[in-house]
Amino acid sequence: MLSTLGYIIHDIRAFFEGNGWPVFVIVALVLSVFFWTACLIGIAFFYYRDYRYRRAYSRIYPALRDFIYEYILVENRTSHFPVDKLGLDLDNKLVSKVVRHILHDFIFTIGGEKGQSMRHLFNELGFDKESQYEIRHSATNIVTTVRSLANLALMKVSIQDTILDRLQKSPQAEIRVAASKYLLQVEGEQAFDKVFDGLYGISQLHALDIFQTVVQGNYYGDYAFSQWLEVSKSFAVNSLFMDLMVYYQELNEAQLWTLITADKESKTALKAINSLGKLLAKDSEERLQALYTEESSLAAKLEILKALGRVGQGKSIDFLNGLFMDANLPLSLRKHAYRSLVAQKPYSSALLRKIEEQVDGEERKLVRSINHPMVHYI
Amino acid sequence: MTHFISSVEFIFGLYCLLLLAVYVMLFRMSSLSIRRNLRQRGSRRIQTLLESEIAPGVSIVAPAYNESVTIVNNVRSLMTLFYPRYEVVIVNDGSKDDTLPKLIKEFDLVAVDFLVDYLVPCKEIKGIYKSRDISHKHLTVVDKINGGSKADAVNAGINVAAFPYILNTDVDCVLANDTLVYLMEAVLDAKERVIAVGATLRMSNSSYVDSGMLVEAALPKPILARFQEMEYIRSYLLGKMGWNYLNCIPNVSGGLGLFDKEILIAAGGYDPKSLGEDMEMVTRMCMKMCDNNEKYEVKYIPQTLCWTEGPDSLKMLTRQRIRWARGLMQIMRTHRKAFFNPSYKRFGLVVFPYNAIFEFFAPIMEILGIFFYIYLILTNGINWQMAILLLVFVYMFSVFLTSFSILLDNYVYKYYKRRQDIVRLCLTAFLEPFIYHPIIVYSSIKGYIQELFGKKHAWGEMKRKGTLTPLSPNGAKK
Repeated sequence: MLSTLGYIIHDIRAFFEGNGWPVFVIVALVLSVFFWTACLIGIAFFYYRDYRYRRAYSRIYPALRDFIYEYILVENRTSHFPVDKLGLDLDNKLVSKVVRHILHDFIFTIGGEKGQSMRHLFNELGFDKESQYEIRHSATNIVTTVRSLANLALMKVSIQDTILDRLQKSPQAEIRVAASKYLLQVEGEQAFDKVFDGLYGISQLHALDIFQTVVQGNYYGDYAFSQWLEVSKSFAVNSLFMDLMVYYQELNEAQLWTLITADKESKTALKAINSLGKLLAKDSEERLQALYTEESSLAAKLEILKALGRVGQGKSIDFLNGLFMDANLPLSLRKHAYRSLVAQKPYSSALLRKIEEQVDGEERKLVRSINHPMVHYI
Repeated sequence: MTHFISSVEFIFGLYCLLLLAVYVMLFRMSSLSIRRNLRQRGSRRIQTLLESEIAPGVSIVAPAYNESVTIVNNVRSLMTLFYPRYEVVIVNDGSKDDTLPKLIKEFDLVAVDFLVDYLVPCKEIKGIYKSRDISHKHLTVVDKINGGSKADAVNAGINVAAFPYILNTDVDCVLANDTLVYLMEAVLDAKERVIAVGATLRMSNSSYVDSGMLVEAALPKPILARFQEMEYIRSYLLGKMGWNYLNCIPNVSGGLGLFDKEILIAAGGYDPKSLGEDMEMVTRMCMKMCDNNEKYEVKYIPQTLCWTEGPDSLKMLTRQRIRWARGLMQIMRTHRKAFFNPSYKRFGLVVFPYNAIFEFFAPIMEILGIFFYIYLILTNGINWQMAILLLVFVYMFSVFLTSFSILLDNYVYKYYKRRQDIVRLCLTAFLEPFIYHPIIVYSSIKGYIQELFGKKHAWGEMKRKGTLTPLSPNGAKK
């Protein structure tokens, strides 16, 4: 090995001590001039494309704006728009792109019935068909597919099931999430099973995106999101279902405890403990206390203390008081123990009064800090 | 003697070749990284995180020392960020001027009882202030004894911060409104745990500002600030974005960096003795994750989210760069066990060796190279034709990299409204090797020498000139 390396170094040295340098420098110079030129031409091309777009935008925007004002906002037309009056060549890709972008901006800002009329205008201009075409033919181009799906969802245009299935099984997480969002926006709660069944390999940001789509819809039912919780699923997926459970107040203690006991140190377990608290899981109060003694990580202990405060049935008052009084514990644990006592106030009022009268020094400062109305936020 | 000269030539040649290869590799990887970022941006709505009720909270920690001139506007700027859950923690690091009274008066602050949990070391916190005005409920002001360094002040802010992520910035920095959204997107969109995220910084000198918010970015008028603007664009867009592709970011700037608080505290917080505290902190966080055998990511995003006032006098610039050089040397010495250490994985095998060989040794090699050149000239041992060709090549390569990054930046993000700003900045790239680069090499060598001989570093104070240009009352540029 070393001798091979030695030979290689020797060869390199021989190359550079001979004619190596002149050859290298000339080749590098020629290549860099070539590369320079290619890059500058590339950038010039992009600048030119950008310039054309902006020029087209400034030409089309006033015409389209006036058209929308005249026929949708003033005349209150809902369909059969005289699109020929616009005088736009929509077969031209650039014009079509600009018109779509302008329409999007209007559709985002105009809601209600007028928004519906805007959607009709979008369809009468043939963009629904174009988006469908793009989805069928650019499934590998993430940005185009995601945008087209968003367009179609906004216009409430239906897509063939076979195409949607293909998009939902795409190797690209962005496309899978966009397809799920499309389903949720167009079909609402009817799509829950289909969407949640196929969720995998998503990031926390995707989970947040799906959460927003669900809660911004008009769903107020009692769907069991907890049925999709599974130990084998990723944190992002389980976290989405737990967030939805909390948002719609669906309490399923057994499922959450399955996640907690599977891996007590994991992020999923911490989130499950947190969800128990937010869902006011009354039957879990004693079990949470038992879990506290088993736990070793500070983060898990803090989550348990927060959950006990939220559940607040008065069964953990002595336990929390014991923790607060233990001067050997980290300050953060004592702080949360006291805060949870405060959260259980109808049950803990007498004890809190007693504590406030008795404590001094650092403990008094801690009590005052937690009770201060302006640091409540912290 | 001939053998010795050819050996030295070989060493310099090999070093330059490796450096060239690294630059070409970074160029390619940064293109891929920026493309990936643009693709992600194109397939996502910024509102998702902005409207979210479950977005993770962020504590913005901004230390202030004698910032009386600009403090009120700067705090206002921090309070106008778009994000659903955040707080602003201003640390008054024992200012001798009226920084604290100004804050108290302007934001209607009152001292509150607050028991500080000193999770990371810092000088004593004298008081915590909160605003009585509900519109400033996210503001917390920490008054502490001066610790002699920014690191100590940031540590105090960390001890008071409530949220799981810390955004460390300077109080004089002007942040883009959507800074937190962009940075948190990078955290939430990652496969592994993200311990730190950074973004591009630029010079705020000569930019237009209104109510603490940047209205229009303009090219700095002072030539030194303009050189720095050019250097920052190149370094962030090509350098850091390139390393981002390999998850090998060596440093997250002290001007703007988002950190995972849990890891930040576990790693011991900022080191007040370090002169390169931002890089040292990231180094320790990475080593901590490797020690715990946990996977992690340090990320960078190409958007400019922070505008900072750069030194526009030669004295200030050299002092800043001397400090950076000393900081780098301290890190190389303190954490030398990571050098080619396989237990530190890509940090030990790529990041640290790159920093040592191509960042730390680069100025030394340059100075030695110049001396060797002079020696060859004196002994008539130089091939002039080749030497000139080589110089032309290196010069072209440098100018190309810089102007490419400027053009790319402007094409993608369009920060400058005026075209002449782009042309001027590209022209600055032609002057850099003759004016700016020698200053940087000189400062680095001086820093190494000072560190080697243990000269005590005087932090000094950067006088805030408020070089941001305010808009006139009718909104016109002055």
